Amino acid sequence: MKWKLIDPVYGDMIRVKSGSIWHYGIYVSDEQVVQFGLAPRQRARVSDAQVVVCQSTMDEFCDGSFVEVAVPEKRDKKRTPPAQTVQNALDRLGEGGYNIVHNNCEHFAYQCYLGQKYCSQTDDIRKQFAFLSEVKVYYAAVPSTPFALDLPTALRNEEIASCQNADVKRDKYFVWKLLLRAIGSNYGKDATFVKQPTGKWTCNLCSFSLSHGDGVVAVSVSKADTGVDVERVALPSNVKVMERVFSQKEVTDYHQLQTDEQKALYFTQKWTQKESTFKMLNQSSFLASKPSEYTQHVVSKAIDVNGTSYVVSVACNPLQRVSFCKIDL
Amino acid sequence: MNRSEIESRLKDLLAVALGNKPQLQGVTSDSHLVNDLGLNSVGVLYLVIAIEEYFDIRFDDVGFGDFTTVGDVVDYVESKLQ
Repeated sequence: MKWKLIDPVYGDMIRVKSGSIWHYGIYVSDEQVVQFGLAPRQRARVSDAQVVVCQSTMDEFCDGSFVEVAVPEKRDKKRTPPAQTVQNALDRLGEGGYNIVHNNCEHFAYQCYLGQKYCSQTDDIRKQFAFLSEVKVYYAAVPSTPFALDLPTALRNEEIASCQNADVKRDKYFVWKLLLRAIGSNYGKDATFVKQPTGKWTCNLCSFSLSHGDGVVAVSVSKADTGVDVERVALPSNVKVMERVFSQKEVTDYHQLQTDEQKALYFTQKWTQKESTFKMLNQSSFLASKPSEYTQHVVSKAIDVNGTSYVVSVACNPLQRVSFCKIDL
Repeated sequence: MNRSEIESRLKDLLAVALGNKPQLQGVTSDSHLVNDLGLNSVGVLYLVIAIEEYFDIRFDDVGFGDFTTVGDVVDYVESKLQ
């Protein structure tokens, strides 16, 4: 649809800028423009329930601003004939059901003019929020079955082989297996991995983060920055360390909790939130910080794996939807 | 997602939709959408769409003018997610 600064004629769809958004109507004559509510800046703040299809003069509609007239392009749906357009508008005088996102003045005008509801303004805004994509968190119990270092990335096999601790070796192997599953099901099978000089692994298809320990592994995958941490729910082994790492408010909140179960859950949530944040920020090692020192987005979930309670937290930037998925390895 | 998580995400979305404006500091569930946060019709449009995209819900059975405080929006999102 093109919009031109020309004089409207009977049955045209017209629009006028009202603040930073457009207000739409159907032109009948200079004395009659049909619209779904007056332009936002012309009406006092009223509830949506009070907004109805109404008519005004052209002067009232444009309120001193330039009026643009819709001119359909070849690719557009064929417009409704002018007389029918006007009739469509007049038939709806007094109709309510206004909703700024789903049933507004632009929807109304397009429905009269083209026969279908459409709103370019909400579509454009929705596209701006397309970055609200998803960070996916997968977690799994570490299998006790034997395993061979058969990962497709040779350097990762070498890295695992060099571990002295058998549990860590097992964790590192299975967290990578989980990572391959996560990336494969979300971003395809063509993943290649590079170990950066900092020791951090990166992938050509997405960002990812790994966490493992106490019999569970977790990964987060996303197109944006992400960090994940999973810990078994437990009380702090050293309250003084917690008091140094947590803010005064967090420490106060912790001590005000009534039961050890509540304290353990609170402590583990806060701890994993901090650690996931710092992993996302590419810190080479966990450097706990007061919450006021970070402003990233963190989501936590209490999970149960083989009868043991854990908390998994994922940090992401920018803000994204988060989904958690438990799988069997 | 529990109520406190919804409220936390809503605060994030306010910052995304409206920019990190000073009035967004110290937002609570009692914060008034218009008087405290200065939401106008454009701000509402951005915020509603951001909430819809994030929580995968639709504000199709209510008008945003029906909400007075941040807590009212949290209540609505919570009811939609149940």
